[in-house]
Amino acid sequence: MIRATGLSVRISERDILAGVDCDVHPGRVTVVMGKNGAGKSTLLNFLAGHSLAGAAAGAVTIDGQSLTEYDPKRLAAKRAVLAQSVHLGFPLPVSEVVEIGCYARYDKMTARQRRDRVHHYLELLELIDLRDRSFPTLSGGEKKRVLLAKCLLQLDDESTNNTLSNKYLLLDEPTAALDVEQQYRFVQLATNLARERGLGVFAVLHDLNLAARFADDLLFLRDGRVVTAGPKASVLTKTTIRTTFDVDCLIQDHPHFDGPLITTLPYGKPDFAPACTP
Amino acid sequence: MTGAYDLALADLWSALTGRAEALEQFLIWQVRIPRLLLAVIVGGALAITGAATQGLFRNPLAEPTLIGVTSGAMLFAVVALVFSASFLGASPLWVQQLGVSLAAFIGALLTTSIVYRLAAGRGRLNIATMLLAGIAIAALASAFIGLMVYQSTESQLRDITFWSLGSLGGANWMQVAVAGPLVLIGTYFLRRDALALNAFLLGEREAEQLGFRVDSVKKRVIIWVALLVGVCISLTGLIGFVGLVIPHLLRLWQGTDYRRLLLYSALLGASFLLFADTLARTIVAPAELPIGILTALVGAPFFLWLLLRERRKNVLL
Repeated sequence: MIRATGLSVRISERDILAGVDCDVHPGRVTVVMGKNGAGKSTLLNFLAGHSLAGAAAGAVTIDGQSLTEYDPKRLAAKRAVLAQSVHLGFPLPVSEVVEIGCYARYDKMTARQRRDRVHHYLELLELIDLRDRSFPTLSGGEKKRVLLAKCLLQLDDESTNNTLSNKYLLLDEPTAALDVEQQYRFVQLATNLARERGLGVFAVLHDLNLAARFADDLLFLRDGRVVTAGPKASVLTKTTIRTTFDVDCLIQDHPHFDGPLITTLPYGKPDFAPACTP
Repeated sequence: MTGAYDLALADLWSALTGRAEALEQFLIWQVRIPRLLLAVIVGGALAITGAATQGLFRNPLAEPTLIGVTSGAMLFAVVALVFSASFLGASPLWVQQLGVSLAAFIGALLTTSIVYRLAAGRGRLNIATMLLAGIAIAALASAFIGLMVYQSTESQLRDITFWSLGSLGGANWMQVAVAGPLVLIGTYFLRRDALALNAFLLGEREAEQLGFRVDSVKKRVIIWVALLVGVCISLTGLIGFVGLVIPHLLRLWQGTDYRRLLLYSALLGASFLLFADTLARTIVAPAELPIGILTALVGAPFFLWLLLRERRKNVLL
């Protein structure tokens, strides 16, 4: 489990995060949501171990051990971060981008092993036909899959029979710049990894319905403070959504899936109020 | 074995086997061979520093000459040259030369750190800042060098001119003995960071989350680049554009994987400068062209072409 306790970050007299507690459980999808500037990406960066020195208070542990005690290479094998956008300084072919995922264990692998593992993940994410394509020429959805393949190779560990039950994947707005179908497919993919392989997934998302459909746990942030957190059924209410996002909403039973369908409505329009009763 | 003094291949053979006349023996052993070796050493060093700086800045335009590193090294070297006469005048020649090399190294180190901090300090590279910093430092260097020209003696003036045009003419065995091992060691250590430079392609944050100690990698690359640039400047002066052209040609042909690129750059750079120097010695024989002019003739149009291409990709400025 990745656990943040009492995480506080102050940057130039402003609280970016104030006493945030957050757990990321193995085998579950934890989604953090909030308005722009609520501190979502900062939280993700701290969970990932970036810029820990900047924290005013609080601690982050992974499986009981403080992040500051992790050797960078061991940490790299423990958690992978899928960045929001990656701009390559120079074009690289897809297979070389994926191979970068195993650099933390580079010396322990033979060239053949590296090739095999790269191939394995290219196959898993249906990227085989793209392996020689130059990364910058790919579409948004393809790029995300390549970066996911790289992250999975980074967490790959032959010794534990390929379970990911003590590994964590942090996704920073993975659906940004993806079309509707790709958003759905990508989040489904990450969710399957959690359900089937025991991976702990933490994601920043903006789409309430995507979160309602795929998340196990939700964390709502507002101005660096936790509005509410816990299993999604308890978090997704009219009140919490209004407090977090300043919008009213309609919560209905989803006609197709087991769960809610959320329609957001502009805040402060009394006309909408009667219809908003769940 | 072409050049001002006509030597045939047969002369080379007899010199190597020790059966040539004294003059030819001297020319081959003390002039031509050290010069060939120095061309190989400096060419390799220039190309590998170009490839490494481009990796560090994640941009094809980041070449030591263009971003001011070479100017910084020259500036310090020239100041050291002029003042070493007053402070180290009594000491042996090699002490003075060492002082000049050290100054060039410090100048390169300072400028690389400054330009990196200015242009790439906050995660995202600002190409305009990077190139403008290069212009500013080059202007400062040329102003100071102009000032030093007034202060210098006749022989120093010759050294300064020689530096600003670049030449392998002063090659001797001592230079080869000092520069050779340094460049080999530098190449070895830069190559050890090839994986980190590959990870850098995805951004510093990405390299960090992949398990690289980003700050130490940056420091190491900057120090080795500065050392190699310092060595090249103090021995041969300003030979520009090798570090721009060679790695870029290799990228087009071989891709950017630094595990290959760094070593291949060194090899191709060495061959290129050897060829360029041979050309410099022969096309106007018995006189010779400063080699810096030749490399600029090839490199400057190439630089313009790169600029145009970058602009089309809409990433410049």
